[in-house]
Amino acid sequence: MKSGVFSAMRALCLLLPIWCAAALAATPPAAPKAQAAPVSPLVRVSDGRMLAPDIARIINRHELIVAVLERDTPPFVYAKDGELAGVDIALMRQVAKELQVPIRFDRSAKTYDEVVQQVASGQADLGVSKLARTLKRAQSVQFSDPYMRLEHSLLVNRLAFANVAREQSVSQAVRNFTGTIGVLAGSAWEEFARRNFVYAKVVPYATWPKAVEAAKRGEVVAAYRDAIEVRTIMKADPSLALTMRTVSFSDLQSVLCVMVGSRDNMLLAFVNEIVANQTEVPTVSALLQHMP
Amino acid sequence: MKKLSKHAQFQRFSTNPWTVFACVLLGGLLGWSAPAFSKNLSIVGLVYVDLLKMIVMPFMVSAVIFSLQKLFRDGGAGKILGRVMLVFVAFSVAAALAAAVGTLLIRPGSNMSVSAKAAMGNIVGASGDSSNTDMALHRVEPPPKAMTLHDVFDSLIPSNIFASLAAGETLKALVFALLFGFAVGQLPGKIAESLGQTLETVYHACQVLTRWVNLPVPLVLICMTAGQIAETGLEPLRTMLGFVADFLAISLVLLAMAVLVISRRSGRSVADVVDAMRETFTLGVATNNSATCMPAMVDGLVERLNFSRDRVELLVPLSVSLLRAGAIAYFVCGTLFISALYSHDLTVVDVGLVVLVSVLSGFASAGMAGILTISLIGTACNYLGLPFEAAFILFVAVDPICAMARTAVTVIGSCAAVSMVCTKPEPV
Repeated sequence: MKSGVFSAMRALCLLLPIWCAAALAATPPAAPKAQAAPVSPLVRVSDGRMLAPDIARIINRHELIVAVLERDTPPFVYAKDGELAGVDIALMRQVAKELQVPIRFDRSAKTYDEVVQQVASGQADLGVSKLARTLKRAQSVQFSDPYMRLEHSLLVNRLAFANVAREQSVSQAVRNFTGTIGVLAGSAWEEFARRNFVYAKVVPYATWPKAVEAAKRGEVVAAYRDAIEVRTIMKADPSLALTMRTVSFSDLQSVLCVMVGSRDNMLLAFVNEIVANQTEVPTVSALLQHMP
Repeated sequence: MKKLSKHAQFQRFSTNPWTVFACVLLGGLLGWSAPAFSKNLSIVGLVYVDLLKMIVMPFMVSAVIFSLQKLFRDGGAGKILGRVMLVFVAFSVAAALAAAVGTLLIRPGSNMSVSAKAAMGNIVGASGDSSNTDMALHRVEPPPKAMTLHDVFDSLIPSNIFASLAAGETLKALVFALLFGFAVGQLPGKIAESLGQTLETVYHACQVLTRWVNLPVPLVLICMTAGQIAETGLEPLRTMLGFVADFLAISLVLLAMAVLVISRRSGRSVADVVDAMRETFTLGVATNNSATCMPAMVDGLVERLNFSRDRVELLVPLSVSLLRAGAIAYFVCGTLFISALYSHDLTVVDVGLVVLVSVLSGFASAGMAGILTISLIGTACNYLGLPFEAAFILFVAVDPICAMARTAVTVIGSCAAVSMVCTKPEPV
């Protein structure tokens, strides 16, 4: 009983000075000083313009650095007559043109995730290559507004699938997919596959053609990617229809975005503005027709 | 030998197997050389089959009721029905086994060249639906309705016989006719007599009608074949030659077996039986519809081979509806072809399963025709874990030819089953 009273008093003695100090700090200064000019968030660039720091960084460097995957991913990024071309490249050139700086494509990234990593670490200003927004990427970079949406698609080996499906209908068997799914390693599709096909075993392959070959051989039941890639395979070889089939998902879309650094808020707004002003968004079929 | 009338002479000409063969060839040639013109010809065949179908319902109902009524009056109806079941099951299993042995010997679809498989893929790929499925992954769909016992009875019992007759549901009409026939058989002779006479009139009138409608068979055969070949071209046939040849060969063997059975039961020579069955055969090939062959079957078995009219009239509709020897053989061939196509090795148990499922599917196909019948191959494929949708497109592409053989086997097989159930006719 006695010790309780004692400890309460001790706490009071400790708290009192802290309270007094806080009250003093909160008191406004007695005499009002002259108002200082607000510190401008803008930065002056070499030609005298005042710009947001993330934009100014690019202007002062005289170069927009864009991280792009090492491999071609037509029709988004591909080499044509010794130059880069494609949907993504055109969008990036547009950004550089509006910023009035030259553009440099950094093609050192070996996987899609590496492209994102380069943007996150500040090695590049922007990142493209048919990149989709995922929860994993959302932890290190910002996404622009979507410039295209691609339906998800499965390239299915008929024989292997029939073995898994048995009496179930196609849609039933796909919903409860219990087989194996081949995906491109280090891409958004690993995450998509785990999220959308909970019971399936996801098998990553170093390249997409390897995943496709595995599906053709029946090593995996299906290969999982967007409708463009999957339909390209079937279009290239119509005789595949005997052994392979496709499934497209109307409610699953891979949302393609430009990757922007975590601090580059104005650059993000700038890219969004350009995406919003795009006059025509090509459809999947139109893209397939213009494949190189 | 008495001199035949002009009408009868023409009928003999038009049902001659060689005439049938020549007409199919001629039609194929026409469709191949002038596809644009031939596409218009398929209408002739459709009108013709409609004309024949028109006769099926009144014929079947009157024949079944009439013959059951007589059977009851003379006694022995129960014994016959037991024998019918036994013979039908035995014939179904025999057809399935023969098809399995034949297909395993010929093995169509195995060791196909890359180019042949590519040609198949092109045919399948050309029909977009079978190669791509559009679906929403995260929408919960109601589970597909499982077939319940109630559904089975529902497909057999007509709650409204006039609606069933109007809708052309042969199986339900048959069930009604059977029950009604039993009931009429219980009535005192005096009351039932007038109905019996009426039914006999309907029955004979239908037979006369059929004879008239049958006259233009050669022309119809040419038009139908030309129309079908014009629609699909010869490419599918070339690609699927292995399967078609296999099925045609098995059909020939089954037809020969059926003819031998009929010849044994009737005590007639094989030549006599072939002669009696030619109208049935020709109609089956020309119409691809077994029900339309019923009048010809009765005619052949009763008038030519002297089987008891009462029994034949009851048994022909029963066997045509329930015993689908052609379809069963087709299911077996189709499933084994798919397994070879996808290099899927089969164990003895697998083959046994295919035979069993095919026999059951054969009974399930009662009352079905055409593409619906083909889709039943999917049942056996499901059990074996084989993909069916791609092969389905290929089967549909060559079905005009296969359906001819399928129907011919079904109707001649039914005749053989009827001859097994009936008592042997008195030697003439």
